[in-house]
Amino acid sequence: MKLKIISRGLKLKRAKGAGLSLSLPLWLALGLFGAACTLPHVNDEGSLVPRTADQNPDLPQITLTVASKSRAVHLETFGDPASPALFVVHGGPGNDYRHLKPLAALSDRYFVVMWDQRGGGLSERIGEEEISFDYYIDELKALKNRFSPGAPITLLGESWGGIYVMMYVERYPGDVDQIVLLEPGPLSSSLHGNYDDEALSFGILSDMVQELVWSGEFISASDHETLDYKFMMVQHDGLEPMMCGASSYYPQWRPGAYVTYVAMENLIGEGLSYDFTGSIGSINKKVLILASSCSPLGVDFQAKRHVPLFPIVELVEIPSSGHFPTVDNPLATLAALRGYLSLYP
Amino acid sequence: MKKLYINNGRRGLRRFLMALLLFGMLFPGVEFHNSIYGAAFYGKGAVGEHSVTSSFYGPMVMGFGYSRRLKVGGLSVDLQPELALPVTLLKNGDSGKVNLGASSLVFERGIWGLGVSADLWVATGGNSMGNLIGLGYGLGLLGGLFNERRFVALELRFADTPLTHIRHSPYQQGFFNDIPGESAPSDGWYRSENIRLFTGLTAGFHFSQRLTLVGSLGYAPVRQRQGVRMFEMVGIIPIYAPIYLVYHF
Repeated sequence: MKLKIISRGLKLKRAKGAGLSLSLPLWLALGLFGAACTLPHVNDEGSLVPRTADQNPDLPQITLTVASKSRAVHLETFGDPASPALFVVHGGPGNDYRHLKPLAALSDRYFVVMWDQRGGGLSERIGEEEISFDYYIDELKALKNRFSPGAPITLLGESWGGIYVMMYVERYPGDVDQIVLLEPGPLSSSLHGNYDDEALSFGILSDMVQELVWSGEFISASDHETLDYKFMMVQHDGLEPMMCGASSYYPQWRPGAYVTYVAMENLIGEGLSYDFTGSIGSINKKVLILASSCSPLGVDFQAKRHVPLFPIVELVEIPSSGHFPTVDNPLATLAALRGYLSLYP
Repeated sequence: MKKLYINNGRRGLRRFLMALLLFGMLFPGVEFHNSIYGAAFYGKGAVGEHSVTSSFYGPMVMGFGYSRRLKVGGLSVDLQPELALPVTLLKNGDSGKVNLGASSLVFERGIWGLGVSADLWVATGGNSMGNLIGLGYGLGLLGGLFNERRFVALELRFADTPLTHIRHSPYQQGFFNDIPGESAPSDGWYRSENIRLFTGLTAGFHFSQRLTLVGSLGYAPVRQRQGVRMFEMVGIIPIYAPIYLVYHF
C-alpha cells in the first residue's frame, strides 16, 4: 500500500515537470553520503596518531606478560648483548623514549635497552586494571629476566622514570648495579612541595586550554587514538615550561594519555600518598643525579630534597637545559654519564 | 512598571555586563551552545517578530544571532543564523562558528510549553595540531513553564560533528617521523564522531516586551569509549553555562 502511494506521488511530480528538481537534491545527498562513507575516520588506526606495536608489525617489539595479559611492547636494543645491560626508563607515565635516543651513544660500552612502557608511546594500550606500582615493577623484572637474566643491570630513569627506578631498587636491590636519576620526580609524595604548581599549572584562559576546549567542536576524545591526539595538543604548550628556551622541541612519537590519566588519578597525582625512599639509606653504591639548570624541578629541588636521602651521591648540573636534558643538552648529559658509569675510563 | 526599566537602564546595564563577565568566568562551559531557540522561546509576549541575541558562553565565547519568526504551515518557526567567536582565539583569526538554527514551540497549553530545534553549523579552529573545519548538526528539545514575565524549562540537546577537514601542522606530522611502516597523515576530510549530549535547565526573565535575559546551566558530557574525561585531565568540568541577552523588535 505504501509503495503505491510513493509511486503515485513520483508520477504526479514528473507530470508537473518537477521530478528532476526533486530527485537531484536526493541524488546529490546520496552521492555525498556515499563519498563521505569512503573517507578515513579520525578513530581509525594511524589516522591521526602513529599506530601502536600491536597494530604495526614493522615496529621493533617484544611481547611481555604482566598482570596476566600479554601486550606488544615497542622496544629497541643498541650495542652488544654480551655487554653489561643499561636500561633507559622514560618519564610520564605514558611518554615514549624517542627523546632519550641520544643515550644510544652509550652502546659503545653497554647493551642499551629502551622501551615504551606498557600503555605508553608506541606500545599496546592497556586497561586501568593493568596500571599499578606492582605491575610496573613486574614489567621491569620481566625485561631484566629477558635481557640480563644472570647479571645486575644499570638503571637510568628520567623524571617519572626516576621514581620507577627507585621503586624497582626497593623491591629488587640485588638486580641493580649502577643507578642514574635524570631530573627525577619526587621520590615520595611528601617531597612534592609546590613542584606541581610550578610545572603543571595553566590558566583557564591560556591558549592551550582554549584550543583544547574549542577543539571539542570537531573531535572528542572518544578512544585512545583521539585521546592521544588531543593530549599532543595539550603537550605542545603544556611542556613549554619544562623546556629551556621557547625554541626547544620535544621529540615524541605518541603519548599514552590514558596511562598518564590513570597514574595521576591512582598512583602519583596530587593528594595521593607514595614513598620509595624507605630503602635509600641502605644503598651502598654511588648514585648519580643529573639536574637541569632551568628546569621547574632544577638543581635546588634535587639538592635539598633528594641528595640528603642517599648515603653516597653525586649531583651534576646540566647547563642550558630544561627538564629533558637529552633534548636540550645531549652532549653535556652524555659527558656527565660517561663520568659516572664504571665502564668509561 | 515600564518606567522602572528606563530609570535603572544604564546602571542596570553596567551591572548586567559585570554579572555577564563574572558568570562567564566562574562557570566556563566547555561545550559550545548556541542560543538557537530563538524568539518563540525567549520572547513570549514580545513585540515584533525579529530578535537579536548576544550570548556569552565559555570559556570566553561570544555569540551574535538574529532571529526571524516565520509561519510554516500552522506553526511559528524561528529561523536564526548565529555567529560564535572564541574571544581569546581571535588573535589567530582562524576560530569561529556559523550556525543556522530553526526552532518552534510545538505545544502550548496554559503556561506549559514544549519546543523543538534543529541546527546545522560550520566551525573552524586552529591549534598546534593543525587547522580544522567541522560540519555539524544538533537537535534540541525544551519543555517547561512559560509566561509573559519569565520561563524555566528543561533542556535536552544532541550534537554531533560527522565531518571534519584537517590540515595537519608540521608539529603533528613530526610525530610520525622515524617510525617503520608509517607515513605522515594526509590533509583532507575525515569522518568524525563527536557526540555530545547537553542536559540542563534554561531560565529567562523578560525585563520588558523588548528585552529578555536567559541563562542556562547544564552538563555536557562527551561520549568517550575509555571512560576518560579529557577535560577533567586539565581540571575542567564539562558543564555549559551560557547567558543570552535578547532584544525583540
